[in-house]
Amino acid sequence: MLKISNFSVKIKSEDKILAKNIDLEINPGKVNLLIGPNGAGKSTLAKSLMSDPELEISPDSKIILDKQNITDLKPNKKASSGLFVSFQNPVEVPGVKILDFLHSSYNSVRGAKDRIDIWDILDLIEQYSQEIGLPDGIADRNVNEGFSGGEKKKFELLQILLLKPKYAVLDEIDSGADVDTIKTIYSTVTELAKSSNTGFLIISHTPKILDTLPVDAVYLMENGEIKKSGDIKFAKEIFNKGFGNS
Amino acid sequence: MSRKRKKQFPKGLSEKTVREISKIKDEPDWMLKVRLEAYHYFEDHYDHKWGPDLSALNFDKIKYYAYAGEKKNTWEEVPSEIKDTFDQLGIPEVERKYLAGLTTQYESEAIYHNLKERWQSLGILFEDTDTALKKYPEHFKEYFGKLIPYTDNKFAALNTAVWSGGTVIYVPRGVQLPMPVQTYFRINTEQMGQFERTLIIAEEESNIHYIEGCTAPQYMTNSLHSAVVEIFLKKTAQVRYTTIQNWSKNIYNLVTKRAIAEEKAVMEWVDCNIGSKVTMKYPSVILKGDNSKAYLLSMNLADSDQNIDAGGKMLHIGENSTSIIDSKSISRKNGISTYRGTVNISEKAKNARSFINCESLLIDDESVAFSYPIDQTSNSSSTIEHEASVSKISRDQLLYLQSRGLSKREATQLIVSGFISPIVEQLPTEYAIELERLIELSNIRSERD
Repeated sequence: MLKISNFSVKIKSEDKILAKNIDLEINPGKVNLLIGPNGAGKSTLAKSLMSDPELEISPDSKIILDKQNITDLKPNKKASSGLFVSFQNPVEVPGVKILDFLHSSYNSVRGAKDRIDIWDILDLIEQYSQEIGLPDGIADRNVNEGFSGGEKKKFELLQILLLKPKYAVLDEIDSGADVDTIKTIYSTVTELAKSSNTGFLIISHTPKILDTLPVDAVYLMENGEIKKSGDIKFAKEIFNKGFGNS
Repeated sequence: MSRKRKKQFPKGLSEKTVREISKIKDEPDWMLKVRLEAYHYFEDHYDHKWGPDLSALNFDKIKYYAYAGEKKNTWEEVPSEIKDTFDQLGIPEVERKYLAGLTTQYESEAIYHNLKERWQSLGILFEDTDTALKKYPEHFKEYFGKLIPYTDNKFAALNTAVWSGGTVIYVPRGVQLPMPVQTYFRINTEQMGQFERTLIIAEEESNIHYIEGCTAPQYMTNSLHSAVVEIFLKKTAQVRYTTIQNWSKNIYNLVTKRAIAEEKAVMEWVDCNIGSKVTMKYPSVILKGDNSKAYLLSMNLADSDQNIDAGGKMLHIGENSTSIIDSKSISRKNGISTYRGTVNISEKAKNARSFINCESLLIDDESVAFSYPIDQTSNSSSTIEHEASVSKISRDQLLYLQSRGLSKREATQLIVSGFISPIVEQLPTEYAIELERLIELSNIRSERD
């Protein structure tokens, strides 16, 4: 289980608390949905889970991943322990070949068990790219450089498929993507939860998500706090009423 | 010749020094005359009014020549950082001695002669500059100092006064050399000069790629390296001149490089600077002929206590001439990197075009980058496009890569490699790999500090 408890976040050297006393539990193989209006603190939460150096978490905050306390680990160590966070806007890294990036990434995260050479990673990239509909030759392109919105999101998905995290937090994984891409993303998420027992926290502010993604639990975040939680019916009610009227 | 020679060539610069060098080389009178004129010009133009501070450079403490068989450095004198880098790069023992200035000869004569014979069979002349002066005095006189006269700048004057060694290449009409010609001991058995003088003449329709320097650090106790390189491209000739400069961090590297391109000729400078204490180098092209083209790819890494002042000059005279400057510089710690470039399109150069792209990457808060571009055009049919950017390694990029398992150092390395990749891709593979490795090493060192 990924257990986030008493988790509070603010921007370094500022006073305003952006996320306050968050408690979340993400079980393996389950798909959890975090919804809330823009500015509720959802993205801040996602970034702080990965130790964004610009954010500061309060001393009482805890992140426990399968009984391991990973709260203060560096981002790369969190990745190796099995946590994956997909940020809202995957950043371009000019000139850096995807093949080189994913090769280092794979060997850092999974290397302890199965270190692989450049040819094997290339095979894997090609195989998964085909599955999720990323264009041929993606390995030769640069990280997110010149990618369409949909390609960026699929590239995040490709990394999840390669790195096989135990828990994945996906921030607005559906934004900027077309209908087909969204369908691919959700079916892959559902499949990974089932086959690899990956626990997901999907962050979204759009009700569309409920039509295509089966979710196990829903959390509502407003003004930096988790206000309520419930099942899919609860989520539909909130979206119908609009945020702030629950 | 029975006069007893001192064991060591004395330090310091005087008219006597210049006469002595010329005498040792048994040069024709005209060369001595040029040397002396240059020396007096140098003496009269002592002040250097722009660019990095050179006041610590003491011309009286420098040696301007070394006798054959003179005592060299010892291994103990070589800085440990350099020895360490040799280890990391896996440089073989014989090469280390050469690079550390312990020997001037590298035992690759067999390979060298083989290649030289092949080139000779194509009609290419490849000589060290002293030999070329002896063997082809008339030809030599026709080109020497014609593109970079000693009046060009103080250090061109100094080089003209005391030059030794260097390379002369003559490529006859229509000869295209498929492989790059490399100095560095792989080919050149002559001393890697301190004041070398290089002359390349590419006749019509010829094509040559010349590589100077090497990725491994080169150590020299003498603190000044000042070279002059002149390249003549006849109609439709193509020359690429690649430099990988990694002098040890005690060296002032003050070099003048210029090419002249006739009609439809293509000149390419690939200029990588990672070593030295101070570098001032602005490879230039005079685009004299119509439809001539010039490229300058400039890559500079200024690490702690380094001041790399580089860029280039493009002077358009021919119609439809095109120039491209692509400069990428990286500053780390208190390193200072400066782009200093001039593009000048003359009135005659109708429809000339120039594209300039300068990017600087700052690795941390202390690092500094400057840019001093001058773009001028004197006719209305020509265009100059100039793009420039300075960026710090972004927090978002670091976090993104780190969140996928890379350590901060690995992430920085990847971002830096990506930044310079358009230039590194232009280098022959073995140089590209060593360059990447070197940047990684400086990364590791800076993390350790």
